[in-house]
Amino acid sequence: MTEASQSEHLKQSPLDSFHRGHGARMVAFAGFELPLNFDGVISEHHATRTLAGLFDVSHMGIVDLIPMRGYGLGAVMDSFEKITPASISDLGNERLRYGLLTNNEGGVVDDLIVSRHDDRLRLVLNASRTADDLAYIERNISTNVRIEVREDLAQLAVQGPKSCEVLSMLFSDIAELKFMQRREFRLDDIVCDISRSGYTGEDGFELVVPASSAGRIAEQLLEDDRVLPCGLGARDSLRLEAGLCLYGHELDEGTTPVEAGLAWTIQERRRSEASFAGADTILGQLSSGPERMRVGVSALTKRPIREGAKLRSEENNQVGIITSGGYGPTCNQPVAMGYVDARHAKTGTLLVADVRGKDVPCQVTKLPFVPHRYRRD
Amino acid sequence: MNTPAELRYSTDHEWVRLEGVLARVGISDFAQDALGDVVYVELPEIGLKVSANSAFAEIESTKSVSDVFAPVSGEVLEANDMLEDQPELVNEDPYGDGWICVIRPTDSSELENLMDADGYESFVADESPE
Repeated sequence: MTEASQSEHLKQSPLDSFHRGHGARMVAFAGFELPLNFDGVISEHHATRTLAGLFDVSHMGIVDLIPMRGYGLGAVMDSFEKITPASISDLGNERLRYGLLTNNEGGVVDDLIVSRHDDRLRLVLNASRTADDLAYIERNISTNVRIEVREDLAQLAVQGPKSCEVLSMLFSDIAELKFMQRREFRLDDIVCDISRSGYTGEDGFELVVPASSAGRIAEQLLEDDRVLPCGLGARDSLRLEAGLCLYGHELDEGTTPVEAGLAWTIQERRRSEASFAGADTILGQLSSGPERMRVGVSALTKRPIREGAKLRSEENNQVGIITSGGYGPTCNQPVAMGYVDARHAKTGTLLVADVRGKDVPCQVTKLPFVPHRYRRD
Repeated sequence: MNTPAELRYSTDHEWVRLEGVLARVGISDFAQDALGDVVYVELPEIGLKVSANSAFAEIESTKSVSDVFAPVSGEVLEANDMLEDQPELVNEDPYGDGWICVIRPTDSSELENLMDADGYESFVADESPE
């Protein structure tokens, strides 16, 4: 339950009155007051897997990197590559890329989406990390780059197999967008920057819109019977089933991209150039293999295994820890992710989780738990 | 909030229905709503001796794990094993199919410590914020 005294220090989303008007149960998250759920976590989860869920993701940090007068966007993209192992300088116009900010030790400062616009690079950052990211970017990026924090914008996500049909009612050409592509659309006179992307494993879209119009757009989307408003609870169970990392759980400054199973975010050119922060450590782990690895963990009983549960091998040695876990509504069983010693990371390996003093048998499982259904073509 | 008049309620939000000399126990409508979607119930073992106000079962919702406290002292005679496959019954029918267990009370005077429906409703109103 929300403490009245606590809420005074929390930031509010531009959609705050939308949430309250639709009966949300509000919670504190990353310095914001956000909906935990509306109807219920499980029904919202199922609605997103079968129809379309509407999520407020306005808490995420939107930061634009803009070249100073006399410089081109190429200089911004080259400069940003210093702190990310993702390939940015060859990112096509209107494309998005998932990537990581790394530190000099090879740890993950944040995970983010980078998108290319005509005149700028746009970063979407974790709410809990935005301040740290900004300081890190400012220290490392060229002085010819202007950093603009876009608190004037809000972000909505429409996720699920019906999301394309739903958005087609408002934006006629939306179906032309492919996965990880973006462009500007107009709703009456409102400019909406829409990408085909998301955090649920489903086909879906994210809409960056003026904060002042967000409530109106959300209401308009909700007029469609196929759309259910969803909170952070469903967002978490959806991303967990999709095997997607959450910063502060699967990712932190002491975890490398290789350990996290995110080496795919380091494109070939970046590996051969080795010109990003932490390259020595990261490339070393790529060739010799990491000592621990992120894995999926399925409970073999109905008892959920949650964050912090220690994992033991069948020989009773401690071999890992759970970083996220709970009930997976689509799997209809407990699902979890965690880190285990590489020797115990093979799919099918039997382990024992310590859940508040009780031994729960579990098994290393291939991720994702629920197959992704992105629309790549 | 649904608060049947024929039940007794504890300050930990459990209800008790007297069935002859036995006490059927569950959690209140207010409690299930506050917990959110229930995904797992750790039932007490049959034969377990419980003392009033001690934790003897667990209910996990999508967001948290909560203890269930025995409203009276006694022995667990029966546990609702429907909840093993259908934990959502706690949400859907907290006073019916969502019951948790049946206890044989050892000290009937403890029943006097429980609240009636009116008492519980004002207790909840006082406890809630705003």
